[in-house]
Amino acid sequence: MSIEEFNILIAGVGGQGGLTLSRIIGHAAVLEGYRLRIGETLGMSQRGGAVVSFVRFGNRVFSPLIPERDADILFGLEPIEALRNIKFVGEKTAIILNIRKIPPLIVNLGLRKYPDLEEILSFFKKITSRIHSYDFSIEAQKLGSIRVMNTIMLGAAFGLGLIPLKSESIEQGIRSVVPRKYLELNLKAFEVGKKIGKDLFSFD
Amino acid sequence: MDLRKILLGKPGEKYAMMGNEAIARGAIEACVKLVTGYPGTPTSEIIDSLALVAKEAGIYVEWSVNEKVAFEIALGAALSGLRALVTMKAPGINVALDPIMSSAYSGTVGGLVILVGDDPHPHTTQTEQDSRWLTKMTYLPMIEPSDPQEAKDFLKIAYELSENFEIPVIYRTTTRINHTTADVTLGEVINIYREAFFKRDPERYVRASMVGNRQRHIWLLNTIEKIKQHIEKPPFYELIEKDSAQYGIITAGVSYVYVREIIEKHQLDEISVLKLNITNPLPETVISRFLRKYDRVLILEELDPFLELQIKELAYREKINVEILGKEEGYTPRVDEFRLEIVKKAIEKLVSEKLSTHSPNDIEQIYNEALKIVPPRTPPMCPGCPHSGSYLALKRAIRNLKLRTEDVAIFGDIGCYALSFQPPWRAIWTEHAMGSSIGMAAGLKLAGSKQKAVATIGDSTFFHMGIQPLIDIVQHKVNILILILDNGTIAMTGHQPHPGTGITATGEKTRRILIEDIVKATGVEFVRIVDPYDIEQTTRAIEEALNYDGPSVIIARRECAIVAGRKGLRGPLFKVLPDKCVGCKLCIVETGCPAIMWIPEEKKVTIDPALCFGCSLCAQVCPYNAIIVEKR
Repeated sequence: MSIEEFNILIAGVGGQGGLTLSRIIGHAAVLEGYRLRIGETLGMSQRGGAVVSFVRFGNRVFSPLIPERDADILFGLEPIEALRNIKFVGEKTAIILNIRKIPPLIVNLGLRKYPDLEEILSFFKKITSRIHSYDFSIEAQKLGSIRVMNTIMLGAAFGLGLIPLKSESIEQGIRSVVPRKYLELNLKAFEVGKKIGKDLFSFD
Repeated sequence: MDLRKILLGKPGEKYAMMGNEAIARGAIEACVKLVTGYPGTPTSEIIDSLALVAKEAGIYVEWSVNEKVAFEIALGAALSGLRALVTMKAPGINVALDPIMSSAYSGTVGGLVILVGDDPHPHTTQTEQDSRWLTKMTYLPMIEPSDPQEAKDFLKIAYELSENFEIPVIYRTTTRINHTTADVTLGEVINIYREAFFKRDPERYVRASMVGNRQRHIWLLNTIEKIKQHIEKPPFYELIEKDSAQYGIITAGVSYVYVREIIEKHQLDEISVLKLNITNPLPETVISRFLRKYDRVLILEELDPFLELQIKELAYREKINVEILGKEEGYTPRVDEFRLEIVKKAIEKLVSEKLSTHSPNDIEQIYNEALKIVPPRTPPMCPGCPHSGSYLALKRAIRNLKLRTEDVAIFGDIGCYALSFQPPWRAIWTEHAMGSSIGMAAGLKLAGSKQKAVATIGDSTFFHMGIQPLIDIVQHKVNILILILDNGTIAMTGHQPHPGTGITATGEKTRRILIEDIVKATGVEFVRIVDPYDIEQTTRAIEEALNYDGPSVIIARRECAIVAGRKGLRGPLFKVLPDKCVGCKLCIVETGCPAIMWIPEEKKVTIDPALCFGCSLCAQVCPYNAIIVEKR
């Protein structure tokens, strides 16, 4: 109960499960007695558009929006969506980045270029050294569904020791938010993610 | 956790709830008995949530055909003595304004709350309308919560105010309240039993007597004066005063949460805050007392200087010597929503000190360089969206008839299909207000333009406000094509039912009202129903209609791909034959389908099997037969 302010930013494409991720963390934080604010906008942005969730918990949290540079964790579910939100990245920010690209329509039409992954990472590296990039989508496909990529990434952040909540609270959050028919798969994805996180940690 | 269980939970229980879910619970706690509305971001989830528990909670809940009707139904229920709630987004309150204005004169019996969701930024609204101004025209009181907990709790305050003074109350929320999820503690559900009964009182309710109207105007003004006396106490405001304070801030609504966070984080003991929970009328005595205590008072509010101008006028009237700082002094912008940075900057300017905790460096430049290489990602039309087929066919028909793009004005309307303004479709020329496409298209023809005019309008938008202009064009024999994009749902706001769906908000089966029956009843002779997945059929029908002399209507009917997908009604999976694909990209350029990906290394396209809906539009478009059915 000693956390004043913990800021998580989740950036991705509509349909990737960013909103589900924000809800899981939110439920876990409320279970542990924290004040919670999740800032997001629903509507137009849901269907294949850029989607951002600001998840904040702690005893001094009032605003649903994160101050610039102040994200403790940035979950980049898609590389350019992570980069689009670089203003929230500061020295302290840990970045969990899924490297699987989803080119927007404007790129498929040939009207804009999708930047190289190395170039994307180079910007983050100028600001923080805490970058963990990985193809989480492949791990999700191995588990049988691309839709658990979000939960694997959550597990990885937890395995890296980045999330100041209890594992049981997050599991309870998964039970509260995920529909019953995908529950077992998501709990398994969380475990798989934790192991990836621990491996990433020792690799670092 | 099942939302139903949360909404029906016990007092004291605490949950992570979205603002709109909290408001739904607030309606239950305040013993509201009838809730109506029309879907509109950011307010839709209030009725979506209540519809789940309507029966258990003993509340009648409906999605009405438009906001005016929704308000009138709520008014009728309130005049029978029950508590009623009506919800709408900001443009919706404009639609309902006519009867709202009259209701201010009639007043109410049971509590009547009009919830309006403003959208500073705007995230999903035509304008950044600041609905607070409507209180000046209607005189109606306005309550403004600042977060999801208050959004739930203040409903009780609004209903008590409404019933104490027999007047409708406007409840203003903004996107960052409606769509913020927060820890919310449930409260007591109060139980008021009233039998619905409308007491006859023509002098009060019949607006035909001009003398009576003038008397009700006097009643209204007197009522507002009484309310002014009543609200000079909490909970209509909250005062956070510090003994050491030299500065004051007056704020309301969501702006308060940014002020509070900055003051707590930087331990700014030199600032006192007056938070207004009612923004019409204003508690003038409390405000005057606050103004007298400080030399400099900052007004923090999003959008227009609504509080600021009134507070400046008050200071002038009361001869208070104080510096009042706000929009006119450039402290905050008139556009966009607040962020912590904007509010922090204004507070820094107020206290003349820097609050930044960050060391200055060239990080801003890194941000700006990075953002330059990020391509935009606006929401596309979904894979399998029937609207893609409709606009594809419309553009083909124009080409086939050897018309130039500028020869056919395509008027758009409110709904997902408005996304067709983007590449690759670049289809609609306008998007204005609900139903505007038809009237505006008619105006072009009646002005004498030789251009052809097409109005494209969705099914629910047609029911909402498209029928009246249709009647008008038939009466005046206007030669336009109305293309009704019927995907069997209100897709953009989250798939609510409408009169053409045959079900109600609470899932009950009812009579399905057919668009073609209405169209034929108005006397339109050219009426076709086509399947927008059939490009050939749809194109031919549009060509015929564009050559037809007189009003014509084509109904492009195909269920929304998201709804169909949830029912397991996807088509077969399509794949690209790499040998046959020449990389012409026609499939992407014509359909705009997000499931088709360009592989730059191979100069060919591929279809993402996870996204492909199986609509077949790309296969129909491909001149090289390079896209074929794989399987599912």
